[in-house]
Amino acid sequence: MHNSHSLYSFIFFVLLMSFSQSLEAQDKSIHQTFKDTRVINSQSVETIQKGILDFRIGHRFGDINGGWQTLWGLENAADVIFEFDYGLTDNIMIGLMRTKGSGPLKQNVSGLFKYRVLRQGERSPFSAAFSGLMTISTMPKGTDPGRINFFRKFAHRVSYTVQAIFASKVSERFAFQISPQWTHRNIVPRASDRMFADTNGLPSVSGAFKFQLNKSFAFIFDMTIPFSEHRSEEDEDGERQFHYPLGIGIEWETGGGHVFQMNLTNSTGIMETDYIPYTQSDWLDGEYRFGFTIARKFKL
Amino acid sequence: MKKIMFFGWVLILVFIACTRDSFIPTAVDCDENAPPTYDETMQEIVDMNCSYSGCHDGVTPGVPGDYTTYSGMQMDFGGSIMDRVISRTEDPVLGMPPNYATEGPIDLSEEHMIMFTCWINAEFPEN
Repeated sequence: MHNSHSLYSFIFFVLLMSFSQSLEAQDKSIHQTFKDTRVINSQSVETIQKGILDFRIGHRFGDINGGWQTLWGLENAADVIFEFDYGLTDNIMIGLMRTKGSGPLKQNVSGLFKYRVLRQGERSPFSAAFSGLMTISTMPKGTDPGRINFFRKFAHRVSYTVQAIFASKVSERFAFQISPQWTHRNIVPRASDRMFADTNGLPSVSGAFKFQLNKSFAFIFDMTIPFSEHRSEEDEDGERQFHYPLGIGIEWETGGGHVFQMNLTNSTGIMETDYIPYTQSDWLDGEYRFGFTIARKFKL
Repeated sequence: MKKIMFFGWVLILVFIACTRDSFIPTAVDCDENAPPTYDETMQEIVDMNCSYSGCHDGVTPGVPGDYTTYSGMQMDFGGSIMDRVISRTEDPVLGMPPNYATEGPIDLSEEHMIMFTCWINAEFPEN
């Protein structure tokens, strides 16, 4: 284990412990800063209530610029997620999900842990949560050591994202959040004449907001900016290889525990370990897609 | 609080599995017209990873194969090098180098792994 990783884990753990004391103190706290546990791509500050199972299915389709040939992308699936989230307490949720995967790592199984440590109220102008995501690729092991799926070690199948989420509901209509994140991939490409080098650790920050249009509908937006010298490198044609994942969407609370979300985003992947490091589609080239998430809550 | 402690430890355990590895994207580098040869490239890699004192050096009891020379390695060109170095590389005991190695590395570097693969694919050229 590398010392730097031990340090990150330790700091994360200490922060978790120190914030835990503040939970009891919030009285007239604000609920539903966001209506869902995700905004579009990013995790929101929300967690599932205790004893509730949230089952969700999400899709990201093909590029809209596919035109009639692909029915504007609807006949292609860039990524698909099946997700089960469960509220252990009103502030702690865990999740298990399977994604098709749109980056080089496919057939992914992910585990999620999210802990809401602070709720906006009289004593705090914002809510805060921490989340940790671990993704394991279950794709078959390849035989070519020059490909990421050679999986010389089991650990090469694994990637992580940890994040702190700070959100504030400014008014009944408007809420926003900022999330500094750290994504770690156990294996990345080294520079070659075919591919840019990448870094195992990738810091990023996400920003998101929600504007409530009426009781049922809200406009949502999110964007993630990864920080890496390699993110701005250009190929021989002067094209950037990576682009910032950006999504806009409509959130529709249909009542009875249903939340339906429709979005447009350039990111092809759904999980943080996928869309943060691997978004290579450019809005400006028409490389954005329709996506949706439908979620249903069950009381266990 | 117990739950929080539990999940905190889970998080820490999860991060123990972190590595910081990289790979050289394919193709590069298995140039069929100029594959790595034993004399130019592989002897050094084999000496570093396999034939050092106490392992496949031809004198250590219980360790088969003398990999200090090309001719000594030839008896394993039939498949066992491919099998042990590439196919079973993740096996802690059978994968070479093994995890119990004390004098040498317990894993090939990515670069050495690619060199081995290209050398095997080119059917072990000597020079």
